Amino acid sequence: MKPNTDRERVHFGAGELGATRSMSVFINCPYDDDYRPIFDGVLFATVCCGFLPRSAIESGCTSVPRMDRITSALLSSKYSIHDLCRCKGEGDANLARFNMPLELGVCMAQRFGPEGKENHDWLLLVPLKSEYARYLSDLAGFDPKQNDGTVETIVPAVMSWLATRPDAVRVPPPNEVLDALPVFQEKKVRLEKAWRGEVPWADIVLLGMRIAREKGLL
Amino acid sequence: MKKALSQLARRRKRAGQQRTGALAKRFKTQKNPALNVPVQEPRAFISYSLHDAEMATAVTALCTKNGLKVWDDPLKTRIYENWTEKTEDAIRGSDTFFILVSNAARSNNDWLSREWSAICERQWSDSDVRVFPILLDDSELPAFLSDQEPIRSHDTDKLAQVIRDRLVKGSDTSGEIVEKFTFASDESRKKVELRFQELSKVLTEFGGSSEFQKGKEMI
Repeated sequence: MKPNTDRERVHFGAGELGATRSMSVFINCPYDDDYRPIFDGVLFATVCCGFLPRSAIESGCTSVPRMDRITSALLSSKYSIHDLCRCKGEGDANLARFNMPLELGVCMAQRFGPEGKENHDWLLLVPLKSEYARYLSDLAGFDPKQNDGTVETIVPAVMSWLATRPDAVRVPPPNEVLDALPVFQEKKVRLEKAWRGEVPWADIVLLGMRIAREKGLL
Repeated sequence: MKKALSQLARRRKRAGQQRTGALAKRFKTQKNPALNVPVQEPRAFISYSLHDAEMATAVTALCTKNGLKVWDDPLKTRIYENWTEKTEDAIRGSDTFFILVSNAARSNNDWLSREWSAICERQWSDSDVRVFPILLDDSELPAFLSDQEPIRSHDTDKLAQVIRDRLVKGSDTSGEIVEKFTFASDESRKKVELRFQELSKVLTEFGGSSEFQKGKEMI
């Protein structure tokens, strides 16, 4: 029995967040503070292009192992964006992050399923002049999009890719998205503060949708 | 004496090749800022699926006939050339794009979608760039072209008119664009002059080198 309340929560798969697989984009990017402006840019650009950004944290199911949640979100997305910018050792132990290449591998595998390459399409972002051909030599020939690590170069790269997918809808020019991005970032910071850093993924996506509508981008 | 002369000639030739070779390589790898400025004269890039190669050839012929230069077909890339780089260079150097839209082109072609993505970015980065879809069959226009009026493949008159309009735009003698063209033209000219000066200096230095003098003395 549902509690007697007039408050509603929009969940993934319902209402505004009820996107089909063909309009879902899994975002496989770092979550750290340094990357936050770019992460916001990728997420907001995806929303402005009419796609639904998906993430491993979208369900909030802590009882399910992380890899299961990631795989579930990935398999229900036709598209994915992977930023392999964290390719160097970090911290005292000088360790590199391997989660993102692992998730990229899951995405790539989808193209070898019974539905073939049309089953999944992915965008690979790498730092400008990075040595990806050496640290991930098996990706030679895929021509990832190089960027200088700023939202000004990443947002157009993401948008030009999404705009030319077979399931794309008409997209606004990137400069309009970049103009509206600070508003999204500012309101997202407020939302994160209100949730003490535990803001649900659905609320972030809904915020992006609301701002995109207010700015006439969606 | 003859032996000494031929040795000297060989040494000169080898040294000259090395020097000019190194110089040429340096120039080749240098970024030319003038290339980031809109192209001096309109140049077209034709994006098409392999299935529509015949139509692409016809569009190329029409452009050439009307005086609009078309980039070399990246599909004709030689074995030692990088296809992606060549295509990207061609897209960066073009300001007029004809996109041949057909069911074949729309069938999730990886290479073609990369081209389309690069064209999108080129269009967003320069307001003078124009993209013209040419519809070959009953297929739908891709979303990024959906606000454009397509040219039907049989409507050669309209296509020829579009080509002529682009040429008129390129030779426009007023406004900001022309200023940029002039700047680009001057810059390019200066750079070419500088290259020739450097090359000439290197060759002169070599001609006056002690090795050369020694050879002359031997003669």
